[in-house]
Amino acid sequence: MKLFNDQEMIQKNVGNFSFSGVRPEKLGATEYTIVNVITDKTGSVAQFAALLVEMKRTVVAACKKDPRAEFLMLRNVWFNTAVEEEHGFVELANIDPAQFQQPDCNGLTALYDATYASIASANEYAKTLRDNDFGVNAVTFIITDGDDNNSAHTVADIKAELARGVQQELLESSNVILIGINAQQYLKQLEAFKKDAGLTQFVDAGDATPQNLARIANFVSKSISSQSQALGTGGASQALTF
Amino acid sequence: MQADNYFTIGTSHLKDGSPCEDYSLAEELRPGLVLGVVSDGCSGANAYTDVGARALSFAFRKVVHDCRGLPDGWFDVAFTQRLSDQFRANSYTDAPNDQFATAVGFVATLDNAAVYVFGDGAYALRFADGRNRLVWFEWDNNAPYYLNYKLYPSLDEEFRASLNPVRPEPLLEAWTDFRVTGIADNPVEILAEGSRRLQFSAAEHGLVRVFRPQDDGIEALAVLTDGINRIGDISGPRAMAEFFAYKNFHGNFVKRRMLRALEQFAASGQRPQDDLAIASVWFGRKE
Repeated sequence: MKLFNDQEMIQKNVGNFSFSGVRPEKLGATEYTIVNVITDKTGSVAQFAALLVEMKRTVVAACKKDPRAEFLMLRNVWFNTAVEEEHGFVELANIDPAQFQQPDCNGLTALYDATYASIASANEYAKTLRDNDFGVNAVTFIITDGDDNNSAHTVADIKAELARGVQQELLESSNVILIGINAQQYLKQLEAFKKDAGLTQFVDAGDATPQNLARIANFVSKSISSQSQALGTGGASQALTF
Repeated sequence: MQADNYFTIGTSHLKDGSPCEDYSLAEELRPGLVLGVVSDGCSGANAYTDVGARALSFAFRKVVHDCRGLPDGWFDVAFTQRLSDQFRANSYTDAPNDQFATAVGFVATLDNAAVYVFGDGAYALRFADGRNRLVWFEWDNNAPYYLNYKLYPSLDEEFRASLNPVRPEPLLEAWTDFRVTGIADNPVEILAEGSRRLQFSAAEHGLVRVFRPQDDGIEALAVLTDGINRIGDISGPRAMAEFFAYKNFHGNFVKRRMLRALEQFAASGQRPQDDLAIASVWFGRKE
C-alpha cells in the first residue's frame, strides 16, 4: 500500500532490495535521525499482529511529542520470506499512523535479509542526505519472534554493511537493536546473531502481551529520542534498558 | 527564491566565555520578496553588544516590513532615520556602548535587489556563468561609523573629530572576483581584484548597492559580517566558494551549507576566530 506521493520520494536499490525516501530537496531541517522499524509478519505472529500494528502506531505518536520530532524520519517495513516496505523514510510529521494496516501473516523468516536490507537502506539514504549537507545518524529496530530460516545474506554480510556506514562516514553512527517477542525458544540464536553481526543490543521482550508490546513501543520511542539527541556529538547514544 | 541565515560564535569568544556578538535574520516578507540582515557587535566596546547586534537586526527587519516600494527605492536617507529610531526603540539596556553594532542587509525580488551597509561587513554574489564576487568594507583603525553614533550626538561629534583631515576617505571598499576550479589544491581562481577609498560623506547614511538579479545573471546574494576574512588561514574568496556551494534550496539550506563547510574547515584545523554571520537569498537561474 502506497502511503506517500511518489513525486516527493526517491526510489533506490541496494543489491536485491529497494527502498524509498523523501527527496532531499523537499527536506527543510539541518539534520535527521533516520529510523527503520522492521517487523516480522511470518505466520507465527498472526495471533498478535494487531498488537504489533498498535505498537507501531504508539511509536509514531510518542515520537511526535519528542522535542526533536522535526529531526526524525521513519521507515516501516514488514518481513517474512520477503522484505516489504510499508512506507519509506518520511518526516515524522507527515506520517498518519491511522493508515497502518495489519498485514497478512505467513511465510518464512528471512531475518538476515531483512536486517541487511534495512542497514543497507539506511546507509544509502544517509549518503544521499550527507551529499546534500544534512547531518545524519540512524537507528534500526528489528522485531521478530523467530530465528532466521530463509535468507540469502549472511551474518558476516550484515556485520560488514553495518561497519561500512560509519567507516565511510555515510552517517555519524548507526544503532541496530534486535527485539525478540514471544521468542523464548530462540533466545540463544538471537543473542548469538546480535553478537556475531555486531548489532548494538538484543532485547528479550518476553511474551506477546499487550503490556509487553506497550513496553516495546515505549522502549523504541525512547531509544529513537536518545539517538536523536546524540546527533552532532560524533558518537552513538548509549543503549537503554528495556 | 529562498532565503535563510546562520551565525556562529568564533573561537576567541568561545575561549573567554563571552557570547556571540554576531546575529542574522532572513525571511520572506511576502511571496517573491525577501529580506536578510547580519549584525556584528563591537568586541572592543567591553559591553553587551550581543544585545545591540540583535536589536539592530530586528530594527532592520521591522523598518523593512513597514516600508513600501521596490528594493532600489528602499534604502534612502529616510530609511536610515527610521532605522535609527527603531534601533533606539529596541534598545533595552541603559549603556550606549551596548549598541555598537554594524549591519549589512538586503531586500530582494527576482528583478531587483539592494544591499545596505552601515559600518563594516561584506556581501557576495554568485553568478550563473561561474563567477563570484566578494566585496568587503573596512574602516581605518577598525573603527567603523556605527549607527549608534546617530543616537548619541556627543559620540557622533567625537567620531567626526577623530577623522583624519589629511585623509578624508576613511572607508575602504575592496573586492575579489573569483571562480571555483574544482581542484582540491587550488580551489579558487582569482579573476580580478580591486579597491577604492570612500569619503565619510558617502557612508554616513549607509551605503547602498543595487542589482538586477535576473538580468545580471545573479544566482545568489549573501551578506556577511567581517568574520568571513578570519577563518584560520582560509581566504575570504575560498571561504565564500564553500559557503555558496549550496546543495539544495529548501528550508534551512544556508545553515546546512555553513555547518558542513565549517565542519570541513575544522577538519583541517581552520576555525572562525571571529564570530561569523551570513544571510543569503537564492534566486535560481533565469528560465
